[in-house]
Amino acid sequence: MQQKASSFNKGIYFFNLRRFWLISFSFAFLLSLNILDFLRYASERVHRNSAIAGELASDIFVFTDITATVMFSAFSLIAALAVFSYIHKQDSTAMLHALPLTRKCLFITNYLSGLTLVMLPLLVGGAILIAGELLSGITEIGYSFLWMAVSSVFLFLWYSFAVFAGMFTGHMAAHALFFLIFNFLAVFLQDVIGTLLSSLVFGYARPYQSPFTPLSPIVYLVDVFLDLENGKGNYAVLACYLIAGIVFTLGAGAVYIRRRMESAGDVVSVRVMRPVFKYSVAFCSAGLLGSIVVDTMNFGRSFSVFLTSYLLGGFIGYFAAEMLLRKTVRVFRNIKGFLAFALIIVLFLSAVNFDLFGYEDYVPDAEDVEVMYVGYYMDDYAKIALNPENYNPERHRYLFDDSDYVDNPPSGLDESLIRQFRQRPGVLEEPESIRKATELHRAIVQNARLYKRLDRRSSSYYDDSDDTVYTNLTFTYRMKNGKTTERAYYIPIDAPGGEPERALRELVTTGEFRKKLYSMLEVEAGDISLVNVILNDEGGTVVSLTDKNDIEEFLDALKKDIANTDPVDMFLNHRKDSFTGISATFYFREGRAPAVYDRGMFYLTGNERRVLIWSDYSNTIGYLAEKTGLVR
Amino acid sequence: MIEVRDLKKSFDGFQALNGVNITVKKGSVYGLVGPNGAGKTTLIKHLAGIFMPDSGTIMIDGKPSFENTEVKAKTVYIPDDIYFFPQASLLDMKRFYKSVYPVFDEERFRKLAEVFPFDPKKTLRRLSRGMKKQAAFWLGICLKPDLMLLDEPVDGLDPVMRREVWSIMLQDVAERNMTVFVSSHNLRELEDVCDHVGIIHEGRIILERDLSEIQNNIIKLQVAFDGPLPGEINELDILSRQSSGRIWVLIVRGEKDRILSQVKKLNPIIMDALPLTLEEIFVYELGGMNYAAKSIIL
Repeated sequence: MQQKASSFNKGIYFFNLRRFWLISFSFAFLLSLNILDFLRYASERVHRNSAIAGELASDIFVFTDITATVMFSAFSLIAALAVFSYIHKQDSTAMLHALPLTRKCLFITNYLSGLTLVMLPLLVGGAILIAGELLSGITEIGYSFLWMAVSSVFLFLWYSFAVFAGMFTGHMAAHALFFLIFNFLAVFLQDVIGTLLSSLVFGYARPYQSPFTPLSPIVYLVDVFLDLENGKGNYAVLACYLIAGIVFTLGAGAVYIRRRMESAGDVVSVRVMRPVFKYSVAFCSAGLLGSIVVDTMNFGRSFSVFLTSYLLGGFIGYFAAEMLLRKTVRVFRNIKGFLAFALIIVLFLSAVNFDLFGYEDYVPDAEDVEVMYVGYYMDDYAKIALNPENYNPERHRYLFDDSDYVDNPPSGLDESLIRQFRQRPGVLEEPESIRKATELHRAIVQNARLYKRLDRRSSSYYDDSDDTVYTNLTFTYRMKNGKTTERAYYIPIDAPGGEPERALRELVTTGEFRKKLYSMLEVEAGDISLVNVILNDEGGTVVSLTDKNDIEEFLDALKKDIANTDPVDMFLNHRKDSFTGISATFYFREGRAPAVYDRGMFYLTGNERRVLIWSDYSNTIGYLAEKTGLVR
Repeated sequence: MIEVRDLKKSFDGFQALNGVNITVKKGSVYGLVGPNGAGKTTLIKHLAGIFMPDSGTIMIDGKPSFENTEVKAKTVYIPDDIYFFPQASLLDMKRFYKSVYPVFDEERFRKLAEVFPFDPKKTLRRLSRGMKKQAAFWLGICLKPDLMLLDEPVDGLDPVMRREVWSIMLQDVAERNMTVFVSSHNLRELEDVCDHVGIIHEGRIILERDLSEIQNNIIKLQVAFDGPLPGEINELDILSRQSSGRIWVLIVRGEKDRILSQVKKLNPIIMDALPLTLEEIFVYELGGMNYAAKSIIL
C-alpha cells in the first residue's frame, strides 16, 4: 500500500527561500524607500500642523499607487518565474520530478515559497510604515493596516496569476509574456475594438468608462488606491480579486498535476491551448496593426485599407504563432487555418462596415426619451445629469460649487440637486427640444454618406483641403425605460445650407437650449449687488456699477449682445470676433449667482462671476463708451 | 523489481514508446541499448516517474511508480544532462537531498570524498561535465537506493573514474541487492557489468535476455568450402554474411552446437565458431531491423 504522501516539503521551501532571497530583499528595499519617502513627507507636515496627522495617514495610498502597482506586479512575476523556473527546462524538470515527492507537494511547496518571497517584503514595509507613523505622531494606523491588506490582495492576485500563466508554457519568456498579456489584454482589446468601431461605424461612441477595465488589474489598481485614499474603497472588486487569486491558484495546481513534463521548452505546454494561442495571437496582431495603420496613416477611414491591415496583421500573427509552436520557420504550407481566420475577419469587418446590425441608422423616438444631452463633450456634470445613479460622492465632489459640499459631499443626489445638474448646457428635458435634437440626429444619419469618416478628436479639426471645420457632436439619450443610448460624430456640422445645419440652428434656438447655454439671460438686475467693469486702457481702470438702474442698463445691453450672437456659432464656440480685453465682474446677492456653464463666463467665488466682453458686443461697448468715455 | 507492460508514449504525433515490455529482476544490472531516438531516455524518465505514460503500466517492486513517493524514495535517477541548482555547491546539494530523501548516509559521504577528488564547497556549475557526473554519483550512492536508474552514466568520466564508479555500484549490487537499470551507447562497458540486456528500437523492445544467453544464441562462424557456399547453408538463420576469397564469415542466430553440427554436415574445409561482442550483437540484430550500418563513400 502506498504510504500517505506529504503535501509540503520543508526542505525545498527553505531551500527556495535561501536561493531566491535576493528577490525578497530587492522588493523590500524598494518598497521601504517608497514608504520612507511617504514618512518623510508626513512627518514634515505633522511638524507644521499636528492637527492634520489623522488625514495624512490615508495619503499612503496616493504615495504608493504607481510605484506599488509596478513593483507588486513585477516582483510577483519575478518570484513566480524563479520558483517555477525548473518547469521550463528539461534537465531541471527531470531532477525535481524524480524526487520522492508528489506533484501536488512540489506545486504547493514551490507556490508557498514564492508567495513568501513577495509577502515578506510587504510585512517589512508595513512594519516600517506603522513604526514610522507612530514615531511621527500619526496614531491613526488603521489606514496602514488597510494598505497592507489591499496590497496583499493584489500581490496574491498577481503572484497567483503569474504562477497560473507559467503552467501553460514551457518557456520562461512566454511565461513573462503571458503574464503581461493578462494584465493589459482587457485595455488593449478595448482600444482595438474602440478603434475598429469608431473607424467603421458612423456614430459609434466609445464608452467613457469601460466595465472591462477591472479585468486589467494593473490599470485598475491605481483607481482602487485613489478611492481608498478618500476612504471609499470598492471592497466588492477587492473581494473579486481575492477570489480570482484563489481560482488561479487552484487552476494552476490542477494544470500542474496533469502537466506533461516533456513540454519543457515549448511555448504552449497544454495541447488544447495551442489553437487558442495561435488564433489569439493572430487576432491581437491583426487588431494591433489595424489600429496602428488607422491611427498613423489612414485618416480617411478607408475600409479597404483597414481590411488589408487586419489581414496583414493576422497573417504575421498567425504564422509567428505557428513558428513558435512548431519551433521551425517552415510553417507556410499549412495555410488552411489562416484562410479560415481571414474569412472570419473579412465577414466580421464587412458586417461592421456595412452596418448589418442597424447601429448607424438608429435614432430613438423623441417620445421614448426621458432626458438627453447634445454637445461636443459630455463632461461629468452632464453624465450625472443623465445618470444620477452613477453619482459617487468621492469622485464627484468637485462638481459642486458649494464649498460645504466640496468638503462634505452629499451621500446621494436629491431632486433639487439632480435639477441643478440638469441645468447643464446641452442637457434637454423638454419634449420640444428633445424632438428637435432627434431631428438633428436624424439629419446627420441621413446625410452620413456626405461626410468623411475621421476619428473623433478632443478639439475641432480644420481640413484645408476642402476648407471645412470638423466638430465633435455627441448625442446621449436616457430613455424612459432607463437604458442609455449614445452616438458620437466628428463632422462638419455647420456646413451652410445643409439639412444638418438647419436642424442644428432650430435646436440651439429653442428656449431650453438657449436658457441653459447662456445663464446670464436668466439673471435679473435685482440679483446683482455690484458690477466692476475692468477696462482695457493702460491703467486697467475699474468702473463700478452700484446703482440699480446702471446695473439694469448694463445687464440689458449685455443680454441684447448675447441674444444677437449667431446661436450656431455660439454653440460651436466659433467666434468670428475677438476679445476686447474688457471684462465685467458681477457680485451676486447670496444664493442668486447663476451656474457657471456658459461661454465666456468664469467662476470666481460662490457669488462672483466674470464675463468677457467680445468685440461684437456693440450694445455693451456702446453703453460703456457713453457711461465712461474711456471706451471706443 | 521492474515490470513494464505495453507502455506507450507519444510526443506531438511521434510515437516515442510503442508498447514497451520489460522485466528486470531484483539485484540485476540491466543494460538498455538502442540507436539514437529509439526511446531509451523516454523509458528511463517513465521509470523515474517524471513522464506520465499515455497507456500501459510500470510497476517497481510490485507498486506503480508514477506519483508513488514510497517507490521514488528508494530510486535514484542520474540523467545524462545533470542539473544542479545554479550557485549550489556539493554541500548545498547534499543538504537539499537530505531534506527530501528519507535516507542519506553521511558516513558514506565522508568516505566517498577519498574517491571523488574535488572540493565539495566549490560551485558545481563551474565544474566540468565529468566532475558533475562524479558529484551526481557521490550524492546518489549516499542515498542507498534499491534502484539506480542511469542514463549514459559514465559519459564524460575518465577510464579510472569509470572503473571506480562501477566498482562502488557493483559493490552495492552485491551487498545490498541493489538493482541497476542503465542505458548506454558504450556497449563494451555494458558487456562488463550487465547481466541482462534489452535492445530497444523505434519504441519497442526487440530483444531482452540474459547477456550470456544472448551471446550463446548468436555466433560468428568462419567457414570455407571447397567450392561455392552450399545452398543448404541458407537453412540457418543467417543475419549477415561476408566473404574474403573462399572464407565466409557468417553471423548466425541459434544454438551454437546445433549450428555447428548442421554446418559440419556440409563438409567445410575450415570451420571456426567465435563469440560475438555485445556491440556486434547490437549491430547485427538491428541490421535485421533495417538499421544496418551503411558504408557511405563521400
